Amino acid sequence: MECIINGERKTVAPGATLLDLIRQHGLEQRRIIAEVDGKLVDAPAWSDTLLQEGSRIELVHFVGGG
Amino acid sequence: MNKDQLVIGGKALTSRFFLGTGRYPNPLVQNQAIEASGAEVLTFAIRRVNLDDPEDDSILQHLQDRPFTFLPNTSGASTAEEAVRIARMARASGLSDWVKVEISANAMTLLPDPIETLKATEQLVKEGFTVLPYTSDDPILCKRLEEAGAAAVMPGGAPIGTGLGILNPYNIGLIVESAHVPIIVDAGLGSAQDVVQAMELGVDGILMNTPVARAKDPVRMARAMSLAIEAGREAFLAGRIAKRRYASASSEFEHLAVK
Repeated sequence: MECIINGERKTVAPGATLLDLIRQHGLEQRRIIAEVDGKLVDAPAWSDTLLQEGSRIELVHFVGGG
Repeated sequence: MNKDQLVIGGKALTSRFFLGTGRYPNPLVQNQAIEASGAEVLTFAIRRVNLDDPEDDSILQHLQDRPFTFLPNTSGASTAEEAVRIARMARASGLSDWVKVEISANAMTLLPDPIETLKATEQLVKEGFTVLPYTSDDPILCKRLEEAGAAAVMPGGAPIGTGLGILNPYNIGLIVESAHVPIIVDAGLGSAQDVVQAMELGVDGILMNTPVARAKDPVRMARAMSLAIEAGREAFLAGRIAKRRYASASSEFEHLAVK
């Protein structure tokens, strides 16, 4: 199935959770913030969050700024 | 000497210097500059993780474990709604419930949108954030932001990154005079003299990034700005002499020996 991750259309295995996706990108140890379809998802809930066809996922983090 | 401490949102701060974390030559210089600045409050931005480059690093990994207060900004937002969304993301990190509202209306000047800034401040105060809006140097607007519940109000001296200094010292003076929350000059300063000028006008602190990060020697400049903040603050508290049109001798004339 396809999801939109950080604005880009990507293929995701059916039944994948948000945690699977985050692991796939090697980000599970990083301090990142996840939003699915406009809703924030806290880290403890990543493993229970099933991705759906067309889900819009945002993975953000802190960067340098003033 | 009386204790002269800056308190924002109930938190007593050790420094009046708020330092940005963008545009340093490398993380090592950045860390040394932070150290030299003595700053306790550090600002950040929130951006998408670059999924194609896993080595693209989050800024926090480079910071040593000092007790910083994190002030994420909402840069990139052009409406109150977007700023609120970014603020909620920042808070979800668990690092801080402080937020610098920054809503730019124009890509060339990056000047803040006053209406959206006020709306976002009202909403985020309702949601329990400690809100520090970056705003234009308009005294009435700054008062409205204070009334909306801002923990501190941060008027710009000049557009972000320009280094033009304080373009309207009269306005900054008026803002300080009527404020009941701390006033932080945020953006537009270029040199230590701009910092001293701001502090002598009575502002409570300085938020700065580019003039330190892009200096030839950022570490040395961080220290220079820190000293300027201290000098300007002391001078403000000490109370300068009035300006006068004609000379006034430092010694009395009556006892002058004449031939």
